Order: sequence, then C-alpha cells, then structure tokens
Amino acid sequence: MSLTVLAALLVSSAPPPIFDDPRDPWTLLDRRLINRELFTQIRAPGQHFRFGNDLDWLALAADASVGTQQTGGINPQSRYHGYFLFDGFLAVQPLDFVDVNVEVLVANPSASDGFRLSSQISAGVSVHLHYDEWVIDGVPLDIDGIGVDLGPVTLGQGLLLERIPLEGQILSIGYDGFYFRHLFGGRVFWSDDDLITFALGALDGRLELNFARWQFTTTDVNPAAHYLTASFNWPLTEWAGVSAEYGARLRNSLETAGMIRFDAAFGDIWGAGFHVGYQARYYGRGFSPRTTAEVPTLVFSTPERENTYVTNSYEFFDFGPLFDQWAHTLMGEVRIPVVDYLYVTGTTEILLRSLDNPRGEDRVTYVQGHRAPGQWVEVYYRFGVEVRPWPELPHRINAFITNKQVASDQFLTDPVRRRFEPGDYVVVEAEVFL
Amino acid sequence: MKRAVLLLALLAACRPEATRAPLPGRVKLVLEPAPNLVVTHPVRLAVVWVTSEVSDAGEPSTGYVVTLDQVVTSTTITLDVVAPPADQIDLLSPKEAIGFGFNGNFPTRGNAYRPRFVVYEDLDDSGSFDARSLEDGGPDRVIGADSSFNAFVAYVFDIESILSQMSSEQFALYETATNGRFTAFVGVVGTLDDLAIAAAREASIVVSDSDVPSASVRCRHQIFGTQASPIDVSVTVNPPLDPLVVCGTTATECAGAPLMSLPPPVVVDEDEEPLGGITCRRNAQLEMLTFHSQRVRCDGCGCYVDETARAFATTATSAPTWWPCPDPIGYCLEGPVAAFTSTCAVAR
Repeated sequence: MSLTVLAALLVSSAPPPIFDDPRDPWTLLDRRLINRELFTQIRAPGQHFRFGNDLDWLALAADASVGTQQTGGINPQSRYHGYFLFDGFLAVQPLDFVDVNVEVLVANPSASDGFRLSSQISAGVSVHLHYDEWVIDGVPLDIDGIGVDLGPVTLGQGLLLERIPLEGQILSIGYDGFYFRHLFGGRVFWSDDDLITFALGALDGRLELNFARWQFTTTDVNPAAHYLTASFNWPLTEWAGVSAEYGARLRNSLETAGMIRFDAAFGDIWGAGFHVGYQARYYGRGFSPRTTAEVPTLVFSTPERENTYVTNSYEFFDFGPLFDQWAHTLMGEVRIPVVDYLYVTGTTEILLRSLDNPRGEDRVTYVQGHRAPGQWVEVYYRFGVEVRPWPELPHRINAFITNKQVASDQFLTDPVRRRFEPGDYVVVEAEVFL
Repeated sequence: MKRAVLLLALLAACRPEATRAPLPGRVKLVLEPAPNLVVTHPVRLAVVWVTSEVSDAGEPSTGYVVTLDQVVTSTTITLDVVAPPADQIDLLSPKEAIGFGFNGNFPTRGNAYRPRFVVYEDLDDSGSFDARSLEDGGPDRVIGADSSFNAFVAYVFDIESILSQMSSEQFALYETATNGRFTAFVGVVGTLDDLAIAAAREASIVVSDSDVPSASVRCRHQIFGTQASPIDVSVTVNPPLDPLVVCGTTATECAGAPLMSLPPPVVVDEDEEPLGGITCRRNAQLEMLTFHSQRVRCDGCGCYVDETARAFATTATSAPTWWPCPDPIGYCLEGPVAAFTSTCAVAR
C-alpha cells in the first residue's frame, strides 16, 4: 500500500521512481496516485490489489470514497459534508517512450444538494515522453517531457510552490544525476498568472537552483515577479533528513524568503508508523508576487488537499505584501495497529505564526481573525480509527474528528481564498482502492 | 554559528512589533478664499465635533468638541486629527453608515462620523474657536467649513472590529483610504444613503462671507435650500430713454441717470456671488446690459438664494464709452468684469 512510510523512506533515500515526483516523501498523510507513469505506480510493490496492474498495454486504477461529516451545530458544515468521490486513472503506452495518462474525477461534494445538482466530472490528460536511448560514456541521457496535466507541483522544497495542481508542461534533460528542467504552469494562485521556471539540479535533485518568472496578464503595476532560489534536501540517517530553500525576489529592493525542514519517520516500529517534522519559514515583506488588492485563490478544491500541510507557501502570499512573516511548525502523524484490522490514527500540525511590520511602517490588520502585527498559534488535528475489514487489502473505513477540512465553494473549480474551513468536524468515510 | 543563527531566528519570531492604538488621521485641506473676502483678524482652523444629547427632561441639546485649533498660514494645510475623548464619542452626531467594499458591494459595514473643519476669523483674538459662533452671538466669524455634500474623510467607530472583518482586498482599499496608516480616519465618498470607503484625497474649503458653513456645522449636515422669489431687479436708464417705459412693471427699482457720468459697473458687490453672468440684449429702440448675481442666506437650517439683477439701458447712439454691447465678448474677456463672468451672450 502506497500509504506506508516505508515506501516514503525509500523515496527519500533513493532517486524517485516517478519522474519529478511532487509528493511529500516523509509524511504519513496519504500518498495517492498521481496522473503520471501509472504503469510504474500500480506495478510497484504493495499495489497488487490494483485491478489493472497486470495488463500489457493498459493500466487502470481507481480510488473511490463516500463520506459524511457532522458538526453538532457548533459550526457550519464544510462543502464536502456528504460526498462521493471516484478518482479513476487510465494509462496506455503506444510507444516504448510514451505513456498517455488520463485522470477522471467524479465528485459529488454535497448529498444535501444531490448529485443531480452538485456532481462534477473533471478530467485531465498527461502525456509523458521519456527517452533514454542515447548513451554517453555508458550513462544514458534522460529526456522527459510532460504535458498538459502536471498534477500537484512542488518547486524546490516548497518555498514558492508546494503540491499545487497545475497544467502546463515540463521539459527536462538529465545526465548522471544532473539535470536542466523547465516548467510552465498556468493558473497557479491567480486567474491571470503563469509560472515559468528553469532549474539546474545535481545529485538527483538533492541540490537545485531555480529561476522563476511569475507573470500576470491583467495588471499595470506589476507584470511579473522574478525569483532565484537555491535548495537542498539531504538524508541525515536512513530515517531522518533535512532540507532547506532560500530565495530572493529580484527587483530594486531585494526581498528574501527561506525555509528549513527536519523530518524523521519510522516506518515500522512494532507495526506502527510515526512521522515527526519541523519547519521554519520566513517570508520578507514583498516577497510574494502581487499586492493585497490581488488576492490569491485556489481552484480544484477536493479532499486531497487535506493530505497537504496547512503550512504552505500559499498561506504567506495573501498578506505577504504588508508584513514580514515567520512561521514555526511542528507536525506529526502516527498510525498504530490495535488488532490486524483496526488502527488508531492521528495527525497534528502546530503552527506558530508571527507577522511583523517592517521598520518604519505602521499598519494593523487581521489575518483570519488574528491581529497583525502579532503572534499566534494554530493547532490542526485529526484523530480517529481506521478499520480494514480485509487486512491484506487497503480498503478501509475511517472515523475521526478533525478541524482540517478542505474549503470549497459550490463547485470544486470555483476559486476559494481559504484552503481549509475553520471548525470542528466528525467525519466517517469509506474508501476502496481498485 | 549555524545554531546561533537559528536561535536568533527563533527569537525574532517571538518578538513581533508591539501592537498600538490607532494613529491620528492625516488630512490635507486646500483653502480657496473668495476674492472679495476681507478679514482683519487672524484666520484660524478648528476641527469641530458636534454632539447631541438629550437631557433627563427630554430636551435635546447640541454641543461642540474642538480637538484642534491652529492659525492658518497657508492655503494648503496638512493636519493630524485625533478623536474626542472616549466619553464624547458616543454623543457624536450624526453617525453615518459606512460600507467597505467595491462597486456598491459592501460586505463589511460600520458607523462613521465626519469631523468638521471650520475656518474662522478670530475676531476676539482669543486664539481659540468659540463654538457659540456657530450659533447666534459668538465672538468669532465662521468663514468656511468642509462641504456637507462632498464627503472626504470620516472617523470610523471601532476600527479594530471593522479591520477584523475585512478581507485582504478590503484591507488593500483601507490602505489607500489611509495612506497606509493604522488609523480610524479613512477617506470616504458619499453615496445615495451613506458613506463608502475611498482613496484618501485632499478637500477644498471655500472661504467666504457666507452663512452656509455655519449652518452646515450647526445643523449637522441637515441644511436644506430653496429659491427665493421674486428676483430683485434694479434698472438704470440712460437719457433720452424714458425710465417708465423701459422698466415696465417688473423692476423693483428704476431710475434715470446719464450712464456716461457713472463709473463702469463692477459685476458683484462684496456680499454677492455671480449667478448668471452678464447679458446684453438689444432691440430696435435700446440696448440693455444686465448683471445677474446671487447670495445664499441661511435662516436656521434653511438656506435661500437671493437673486438680484442690475440692468443698464441706453440707445446705441448714446451709450457710454465703457458700454460693452453689442460686443460683449471682448468686454467679458478683457474688461473689469471678466473674472466673474460665467457666460457672455448677446440676444439679438
């Protein structure tokens, strides 16, 4: 099962088996399928239950879930308060160096509205060309091109962009652990933005230098923001690692940002999995690419967002033009077997945020109810149980309490400003993995 | 060394800038003195807050709080304005609704008050504004105030609460309305029923000998107006025309006098303001030069327009040398009435 942290450890300590894999290699939050190299993903160890993993020319897989959410009237329900999701994947390989992947998400977020009103179908195509037949001094030249669905995208270690679904293109040429990579992504945080990056990587991505141009089409003030970032990720032991990224926005006044991250994961201690992590982030005033009058928004709001941390660059871009921002986050996940079909699960994220006026400026505002300049602590949690009726299969029933539910408007493609809804929820859901 | 840097970073995050109380509002005023205004004492500017209170006996009363009073040394003034003491805030009147948003969509709403910027002549040389001057019998002469009909700045009640409800787009608007300062004084525009936040801008105050500024402050913006009638018409008739024939029954004053012996007429008296400008009218028997003017007079909270017309009639052959007709355009552009002329026309 892809959820095991053992696989994550393998990812973190070896070249990723999936090209430019955007998934967090450390977390115990679900690592779901992505719309890329489906053949490789479902033929990996632990994916034997995928019903389409043994076909010659076709790969098929699907994750389906139904769930309900109750609040006891304490706070409003989130949009996904009675939902059905069917996330289907299909891939064909017409040539040895080409695979065509299709993801179709059928979503009905609200049983109250009913599927006749609320159901939506979203489909994306990802064509992946991978050519490695040219060999220089016994080492193949890796040429990759992906478009148009890029799935979730992370740049560097996530200082600018972390696990944000994009469409666009990735072109890459690599040789012996070094690579040059170009990405174009449209509609990132604004309806009129594009992100263009050029990256130089070494040691299979352990070191990376990134130049990014974030451009906008409907502004007279600031048609583009340019960034230069440098990042690394490095294993300290087989179960722990450190990563960091430092970046500067290039203009007359140099605005900088930086992050550092420590992770430790234990995949199997008497059958239990643990992950603890720490992140520190700093975003100087003006590092974010636009003004407060141009508010960032996200689209494609599905429960998959709950498998990302609240600590994310997006959270620093809204009021980023006004304040210097610090954040320290402790995150932890645990999954403990009680009996062979019952697990106790828990995740938490404790976020200390601090917003400060740059010297010589004097302003006060409120960020999600917190007075800025100021400092506050946000605690996010999810605790519950996971029942697996068939212990050898990943199908499961989850029952948990949480205060981290994806925020969505009526349609999952509607732009939303907040990533998560405030409030406390009781959730019961059933998931099957096909 | 790296540990030290990290430790410093952690400490820095624990020391956000101390929170503060709202700053004074920064307001820019431009005074526009009327050319016919004469002052003999120092001209000062006072920020006046009008309060309304009802006594235990049910009697309403109006009060005034002055939070700033300074001598005027320039026609462009920048002020730092503070609110009255807390015990006076609740008494301010009128409180007006204010919306924070765009294009008529105001998801955040609150209440606001427009402080009054009063220009006065310090007749008693006391160095401070005596608010009784807004009523009858005060020692100072009010010669200007911000317009009731052109709102430009307002004090927002409980600005912290308003800020806590704002989205970042609304906060961006607030930033433009305060020039990036944390203050309860925001730029506003008047809408049909209330106020809306708007970019901060300067305000013009016409300084003149008019009743309107006092009435505007005293009556808490609630002044009303109407047109007085009939128009007061005086006619001077140049011989050999017969005044009785020329004036008819509409003129309130009618006299015959040789225009050549009169100095060229000025367009307005000291207390008058131009209304319709100057017109020349002509028929086969005579030419008539008419000066239209007006004066706004307030009685209580009602303000009225007193219109006057001064006319001069002559034959074309006996017109004085200063007679502008039938070529009033040149007269208007170059003559002594040019500065006051809004229209020049000839009716043929």
